[in-house]
Amino acid sequence: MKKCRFNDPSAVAAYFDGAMEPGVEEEFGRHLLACRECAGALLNLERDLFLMTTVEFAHNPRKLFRSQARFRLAHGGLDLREPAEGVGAGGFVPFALSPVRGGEGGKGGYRLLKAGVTVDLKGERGDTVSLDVRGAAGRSVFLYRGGRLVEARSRVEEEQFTIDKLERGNYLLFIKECGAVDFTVD
Amino acid sequence: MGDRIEDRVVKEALGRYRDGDDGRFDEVVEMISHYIYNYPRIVFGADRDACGGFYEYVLARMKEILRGYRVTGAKFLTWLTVVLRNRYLNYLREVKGSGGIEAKVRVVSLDGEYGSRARGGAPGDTRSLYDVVGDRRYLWTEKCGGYDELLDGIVKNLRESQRVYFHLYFIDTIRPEDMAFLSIQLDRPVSRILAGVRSVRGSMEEKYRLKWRLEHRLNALFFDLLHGQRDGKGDVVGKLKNRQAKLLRDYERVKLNPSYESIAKFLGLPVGTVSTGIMRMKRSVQSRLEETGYEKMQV
Repeated sequence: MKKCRFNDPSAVAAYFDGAMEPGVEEEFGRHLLACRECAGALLNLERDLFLMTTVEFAHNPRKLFRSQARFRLAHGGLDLREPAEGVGAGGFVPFALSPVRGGEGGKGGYRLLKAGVTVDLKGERGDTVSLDVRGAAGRSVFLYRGGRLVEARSRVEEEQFTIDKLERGNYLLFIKECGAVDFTVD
Repeated sequence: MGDRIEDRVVKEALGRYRDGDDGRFDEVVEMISHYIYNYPRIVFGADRDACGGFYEYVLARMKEILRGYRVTGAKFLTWLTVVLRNRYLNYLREVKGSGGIEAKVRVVSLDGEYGSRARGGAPGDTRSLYDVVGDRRYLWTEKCGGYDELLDGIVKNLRESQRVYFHLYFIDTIRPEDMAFLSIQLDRPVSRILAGVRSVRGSMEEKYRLKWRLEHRLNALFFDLLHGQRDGKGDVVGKLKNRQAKLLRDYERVKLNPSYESIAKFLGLPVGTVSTGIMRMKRSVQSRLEETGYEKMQV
């Protein structure tokens, strides 16, 4: 039996989201009146998407990211000591800050991007570091230093927040249902 | 709850991965891993083991799956959802084999099962039309026979305007051929019918959530009961049974029918007209059910 040319995930998704070219959309619309398979795919998609956006997700026990890193806090900046830069996909990668007007470019820090959450670790003046977290909205975030809770945010509301003036030590940043970042600043 | 994956972010990472930045693969997988894991649980009512099995099944084929993605104006999540359904059905066939499997497609809830279990009835023994049309359908065609037959019988007995109300009020009764019927009857393109179905179903979000939570509590209670019985704790079991009966009443009370307002808005009719139409439709359905031997089934 010849496969229907429209019965393809890209075509079904494009029609559903109204992203088809007008002419093709019209043709597909007519085709839907006769094609049980395509119409069924669209009906299933409508219901599946509704359920997936309505019902609460369960924690995926097979997938929680965990990253470990050790930094050295030098004058005005951080250096990654373990693991070595560029080793280990998905680990911390260096980034540079935009230059400040009238001054030189910022030294930057290290960035970890996992499960849609970005964690930036930067050196500050006064021998402390700061932690920028983006994309953790709706989740609970906890920061431990040496096993003691130093910051707790239950269901973060803002898209980005900063925890600053962190002294040297061993930290664990835990983002609920997402993962944990274990880092040490020497 | 909204989209759980930010479209722009995932498309950007996917674009870079397809341009040769292999490091982005992990990033894409991280972003969609929860969605993949939860898909069979939420849509098909799969248990934790099946979710984990499916997650690994998809992960093993992820590169091939992502190669099939074409950047269009559609959301990545929409495309992924179509792919996941196809893949889950393949997974069931490959892993479990299709012969004689009663893989159930969860449409809404466990009403039929809980209802019949609680009343000591046989599987499939339901007392409400809502239990049948609003709940479970069997995936394989031989199991759809009774369901389709029942719907065909009802639909043929209804006047065209009543049939419109029937499909919108019992929204899970809409089959592909019914979408064509609605399109012709309402003189609107299928895309608008689909958008209408989305908005009508959208009026039930809170009910779905409540029902889902109650179902979880019933499940947990069921296991507590089993443990209590195993340990011979008669007094605890008695209390748990009372709680179960109360929860079950609450559960059955939440009917997953859309609001009259949402149907009226879609049809462009006053709410009063819709409510009268639905009442008449229910009466016709009830008389049809009585003719076909479902005397006690409530609409």
